Amino acid sequence: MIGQHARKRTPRAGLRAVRTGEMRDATELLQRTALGDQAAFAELYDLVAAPVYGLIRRVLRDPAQSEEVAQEVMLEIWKQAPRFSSARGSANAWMLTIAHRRAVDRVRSEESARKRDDRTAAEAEERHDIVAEEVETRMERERVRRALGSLTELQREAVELAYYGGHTYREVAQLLQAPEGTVKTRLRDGLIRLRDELGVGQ
Amino acid sequence: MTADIHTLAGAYALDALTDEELRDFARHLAVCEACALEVEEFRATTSLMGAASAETPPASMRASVLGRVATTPQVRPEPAPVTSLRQRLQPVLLPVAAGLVLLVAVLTGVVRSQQSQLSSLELAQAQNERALLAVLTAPDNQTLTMRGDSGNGLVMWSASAAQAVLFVQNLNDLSEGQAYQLWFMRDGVPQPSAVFSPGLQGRATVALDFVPDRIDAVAVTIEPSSGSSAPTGRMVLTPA
Repeated sequence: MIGQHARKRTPRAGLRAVRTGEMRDATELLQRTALGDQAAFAELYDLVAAPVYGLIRRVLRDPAQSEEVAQEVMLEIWKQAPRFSSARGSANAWMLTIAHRRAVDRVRSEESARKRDDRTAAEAEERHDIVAEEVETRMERERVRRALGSLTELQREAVELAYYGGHTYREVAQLLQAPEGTVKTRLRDGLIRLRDELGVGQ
Repeated sequence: MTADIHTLAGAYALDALTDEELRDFARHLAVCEACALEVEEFRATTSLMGAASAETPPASMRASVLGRVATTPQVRPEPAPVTSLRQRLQPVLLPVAAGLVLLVAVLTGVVRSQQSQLSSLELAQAQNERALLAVLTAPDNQTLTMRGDSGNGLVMWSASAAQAVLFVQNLNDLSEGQAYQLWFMRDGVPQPSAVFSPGLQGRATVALDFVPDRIDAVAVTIEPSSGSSAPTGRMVLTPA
């Protein structure tokens, strides 16, 4: 799912195996980074900069702001690497959680409040602009798209508005004109469904 | 904090909680193994959603980040990785255990000096210990902490055990006719709970039989020794 460091893989080796392989690489690089190894971090950068930047761009949309936040996130990954523990999830999940949180913090900060209003209005129509799309990224994108397609409409809309839109569940409830309690529940059962569709459960 | 706080796991993993709920849920997450596991799986799920948005960043960003890394110090690793529920609970259990030890010490001391109250104190002690054990061993126990200028405390409760225990320490002595009272906050409305007077070192351990199905926070005020139905006095301990 991560660009540039494509691995050899057999067509039906199974996505789980492919993903596991990549996650191990990110974990190893992150663990070496934790020891202050700048060369390892440079490799890690090549592995994760595209997902980190892409996710932030998806939430913030503005390219200049996205680059600024992506730089902060990559620096944060460097600084916090010694605190990463593989017992509490994969390296990718850890890094993209930082990226998402930073993007959401930015989107909720006052300075981007105005931009956010414009953005919300345009949200429904606007499609993500994909610059570089490698085969594996396309496969992952297709897999996630299919998994999202398996959700009910309310589940999918709620999850997408929260994750890609950076909205709180209360805002999601307003946007979808649904009760807050319902949205809270849909976010959870939507994620449960996605988790099972994507095969990341334990 | 609600009885169905587990449903917040989804919104939490999506960074879709408000700040206040985020604090509540983070506290819950520290003691709920099931939610911790669910959040971990949800994060693995959302990271795939994130990675599906991968987009090559501007080429100049790489040199800029690597340049800044060369002069940016890293944080120190955490002393020990928190891996088990027992370890996560330790910060909570230590004061609880200390409270239990002190409870026994205080009660024993009081019992020795006031033989006439022996039976009721023995009863209170047995009741407190039973409540403590029930709450400590309940799989769904949760904790809310309080802090004040003088003193701090916590309430640990379990819905399944229908039991809660209050611990406070370092509370000031009160004048005649006054007592401390605990309040369960729910939707911003305080519900009256135990009226108590601290002993040695301003400590008290109180078993609470009534537990609302949802507690947002806990607080302690100074009230007349008969207790109040709504807070009238100064708030001594506020949600931490």
